[in-house]
Amino acid sequence: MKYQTTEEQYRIMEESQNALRKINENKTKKRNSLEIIQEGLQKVTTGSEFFECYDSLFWEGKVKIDMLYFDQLLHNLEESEEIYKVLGNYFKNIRNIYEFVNLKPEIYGKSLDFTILEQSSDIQHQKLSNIIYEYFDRNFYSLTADQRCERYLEKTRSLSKQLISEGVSPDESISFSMKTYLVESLLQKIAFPFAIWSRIGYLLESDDYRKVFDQENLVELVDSFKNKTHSLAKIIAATV
Amino acid sequence: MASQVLMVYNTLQKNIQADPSIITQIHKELSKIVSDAYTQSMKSDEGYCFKFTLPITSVLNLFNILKLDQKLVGKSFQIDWKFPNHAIMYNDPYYQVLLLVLYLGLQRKDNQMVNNSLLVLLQKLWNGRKYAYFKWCDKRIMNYVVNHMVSQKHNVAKYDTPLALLKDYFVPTLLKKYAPEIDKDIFRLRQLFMQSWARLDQMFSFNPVIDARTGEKKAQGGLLPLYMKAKAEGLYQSTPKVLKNDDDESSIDQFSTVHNRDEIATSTTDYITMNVKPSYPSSFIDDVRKNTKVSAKIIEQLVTHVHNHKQYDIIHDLITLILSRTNVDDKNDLTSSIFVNSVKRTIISSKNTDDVRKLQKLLSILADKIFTEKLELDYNKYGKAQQMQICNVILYCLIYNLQQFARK
Repeated sequence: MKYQTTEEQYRIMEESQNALRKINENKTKKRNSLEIIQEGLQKVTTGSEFFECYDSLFWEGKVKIDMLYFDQLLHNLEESEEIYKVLGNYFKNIRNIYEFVNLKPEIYGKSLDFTILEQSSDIQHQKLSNIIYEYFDRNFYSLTADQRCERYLEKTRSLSKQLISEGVSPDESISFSMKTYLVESLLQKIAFPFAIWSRIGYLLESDDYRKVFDQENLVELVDSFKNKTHSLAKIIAATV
Repeated sequence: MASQVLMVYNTLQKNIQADPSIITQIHKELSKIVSDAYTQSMKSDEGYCFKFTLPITSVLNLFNILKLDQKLVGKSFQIDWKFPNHAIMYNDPYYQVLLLVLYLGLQRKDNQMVNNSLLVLLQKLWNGRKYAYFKWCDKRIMNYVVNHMVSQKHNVAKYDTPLALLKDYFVPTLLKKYAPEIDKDIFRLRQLFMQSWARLDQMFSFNPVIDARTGEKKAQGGLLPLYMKAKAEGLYQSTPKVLKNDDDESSIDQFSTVHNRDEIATSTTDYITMNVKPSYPSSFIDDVRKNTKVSAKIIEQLVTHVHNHKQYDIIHDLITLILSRTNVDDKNDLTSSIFVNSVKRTIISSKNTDDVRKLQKLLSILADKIFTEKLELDYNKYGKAQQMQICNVILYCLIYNLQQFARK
């Protein structure tokens, strides 16, 4: 074996030192899994890149599609100025929330998009009927009595109690309360599909949001929406 | 002992009696010198770093016009004022001849001669003081000092150029104080001369205090400490640039439009950044709150911090983009409601154009800077949609200032 020159030895030493330095740098750079998870959670909760900004064109489309839902939910109810007034205020409230949180209006329903507006009334009717049916099936009809009780008993107790105290029979009270709750939940999903509602929920609780935005006004708007939805749900539950 | 300078003046009187055209020649020479100073000042963009090109030959030519011996005049001043041979400033014939002309003007009640001779004298004093304190004067730093650091009561804030300051402030105030005394006693010329130097010197530096640590004497007031502070902090006022796409071939019309817009953008940016203590009406804050949903407290803080000269370049670029997007090239268009509607339609509601994307990016950079540096909040914690709302606060602020500026 040939002996290396001093120059070569120095070169090899320098290369080895560089390699060692890189290894050490990588070691210090490594983050623990908790940091990675926290960073991921932060991205999910703030939704910084996921949500698009409010767009009035999308709002117009959403109103048209949501009204198709209401056509079906209110088909047993006689048309009156009163109900249009209620719906007018209801939609205004929803729009205010979308504008407030500056989120692009979304529509409810699996594989439903704005192209439905270009289709015939029959197809529109059919598609939305399926979505409503699937909702009730998933959340009520497909459940056993025990499952229904477990899921809705607490949530409907207050309204049932109130109806019973007003003289309505217990069976009717429980049945109406459950129907109201299910409709109310559907209306809320139609107005604010899952991702949007989650985002609103996050903003309602976020300390960072409170530091910069009028969070109290958002709370008021959302409370008002919940009250209107509850009232509307009772009207619909009484007619279906 | 009779005043030697007065004797020189008596000789001058005789010379004038023998040749009355001397007066006309003095006027002509002084007017030419002052006129040259105006031309220099107008051509210069040095601001308070400006240095006069001194009319040494023209001033010394006054000895010939007055038919007086330069050496004799110098000796007379030295005997009367009792200064040593090495006192360069007192021995300078430039000052001596101008003081004589000033005295002549006072005796003849010739205000033009008095004013012009003192102005030309002050030019050399200015150069001397400026050189003493600012051997290498950076005009960008000096502009920042003059526009943002000195109090509004400071003379440099009241006068645009050193020439205006000398002519409109120093000449009348010095004459008001010393002319009546000189009129009675020629020796008082010395006081005027010393005070002219002292007052100019004070403008650059005053109230020196010895630094306990270094033992150095440091001025507490005047332009010098402010200039050094601005220099240390890297503060300066640059000449704003016109945003222009190199690929565009501009016609004369396009150039004129860009020129008008740039003028509006530059003036409005100056109007915003120079107003370091802005006051916004509550109606404006309330409108912005309704439109953006940002809390009134944060709006107030955000719009206040926009008024910072550090943001000059970014604000200039933003205003240029707003004007370009809304197609405004006339100041009067800014005051109409059409402009506000145009902003809503072409900027706030529009998202897919290069200009709007660029505008949003710049607004975001500015908002991020203010959040981090002034509000101590993390801008990146807010989602894209919320960032847009925050950016719109700044946008409404710029629109408001554009309109306020246009109404002025």
